[in-house]
Amino acid sequence: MEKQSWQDEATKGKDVPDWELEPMTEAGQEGAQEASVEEMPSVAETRMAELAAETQVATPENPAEKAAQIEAARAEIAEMAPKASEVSVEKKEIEITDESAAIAAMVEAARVYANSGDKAQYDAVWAKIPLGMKQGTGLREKVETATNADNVVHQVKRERNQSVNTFLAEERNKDRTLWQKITGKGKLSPEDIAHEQALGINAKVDKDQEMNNLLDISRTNTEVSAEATMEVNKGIKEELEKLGVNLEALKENGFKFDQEVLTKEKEPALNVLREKMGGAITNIFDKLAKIDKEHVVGVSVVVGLVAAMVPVLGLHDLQGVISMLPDSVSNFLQSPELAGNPLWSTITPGGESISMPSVENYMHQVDVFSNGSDVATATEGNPFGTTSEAVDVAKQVAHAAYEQDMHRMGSAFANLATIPVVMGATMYAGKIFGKIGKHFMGEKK
Amino acid sequence: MTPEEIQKKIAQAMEKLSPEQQLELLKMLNGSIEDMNKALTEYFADTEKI
Repeated sequence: MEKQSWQDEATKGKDVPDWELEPMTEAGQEGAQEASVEEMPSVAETRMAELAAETQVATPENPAEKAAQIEAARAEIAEMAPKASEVSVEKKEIEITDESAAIAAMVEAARVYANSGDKAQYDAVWAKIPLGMKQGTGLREKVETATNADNVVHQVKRERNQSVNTFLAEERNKDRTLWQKITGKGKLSPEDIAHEQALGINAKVDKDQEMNNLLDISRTNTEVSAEATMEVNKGIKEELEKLGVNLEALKENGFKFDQEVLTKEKEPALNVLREKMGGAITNIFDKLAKIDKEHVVGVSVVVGLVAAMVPVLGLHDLQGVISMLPDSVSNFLQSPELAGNPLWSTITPGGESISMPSVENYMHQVDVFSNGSDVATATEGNPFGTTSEAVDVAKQVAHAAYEQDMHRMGSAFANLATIPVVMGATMYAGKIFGKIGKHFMGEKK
Repeated sequence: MTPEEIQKKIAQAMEKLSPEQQLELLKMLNGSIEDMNKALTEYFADTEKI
């Protein structure tokens, strides 16, 4: 009765299969009789245990138990976390620790599934674990190896530097006096050596920065200088162009004056003209004398001036006209300095040296500067003839302007281009002076 | 001294000129030549009636 009652109660309200309610066999009944009721669970009890096990399996994992397992894994990882002294890689290692914790949690979960015999869950988790972690024995070391490959080189360098610094510190400590060694005074550590090195590097950086600043300043100065030079070159080009126009106008005016019939009525105007022309010539001569202390260019000016007078005046009246010139020019023309100059020394066919401008030499010099044969051809056979037309001023100015365009400013050639211009101007002026002088010399007579 | 030697001396003297000095020289030359032209123009104007 007792057994029937237990069975009835256990199966009450449940759809129990017929096979579970079948009466036990005789053999079973005999075994059952040998054991106590508690030691021999019934079929219902067995079934309940199986259902409970199935329920347990149906729930993948107890959340609380899973959380505890993850926390345990995190604690394990935290123990292996980097020390505070490894500051340089702190941020990166924190990230690595988080990643490592996640991997460790997955490994731990896989271990739980493996222990419980849930192969499907085990496979699902295991597939997410990196291959390297599956084979690793030390989890964190494996993670660091996989993700900090670039830090390995730096780590090696740090260790090597640390070793060198230790060696240097020890070597320097050997030089301390006995008392310093006893008292520990002045003892260096590898960190002190590293600090010294850092100071040295800082000093080098500061020096480089200073040099860069200096270079910037220098570059700025160069740029300013280049701008100023460009401005000057532009001014020179403009002046050369203007010079060509002015010289052409002087040539035209000189030709017009050459046609003039000078009369006594025009003498007041002629005197004014002579003074103004003399002032201009003096201005050129004095300016050149300041620039050219040796009067090399100045000689060319006065020789050109006088050489242009010669064909107008003739040698007879030359000396008298020279005295009419402005004092500075006149004095120079009569100075021993000029007398010894080959430009001012004519050798007559008879071998006599006359103190007068050597027109041949002068025109040859003009020819040299003009870089052409026009002058030589023009003066050939008649050196006192067409001196003013001999110098192709426009050609010289154009040439000088071209040189300006070629950015050859400051070169000897560009500078020399102004010499024929000076010569041309003085020769035009010389012809005018010569005509005025001839008139007044004639009036005196 | 030959003309070539004189030319060389002049070249050496002119080489010493800085661009600024040469600009100053050219300005002086232009100013002086303009003065000559102005003097001649005024002379022609004054003597035109005569």
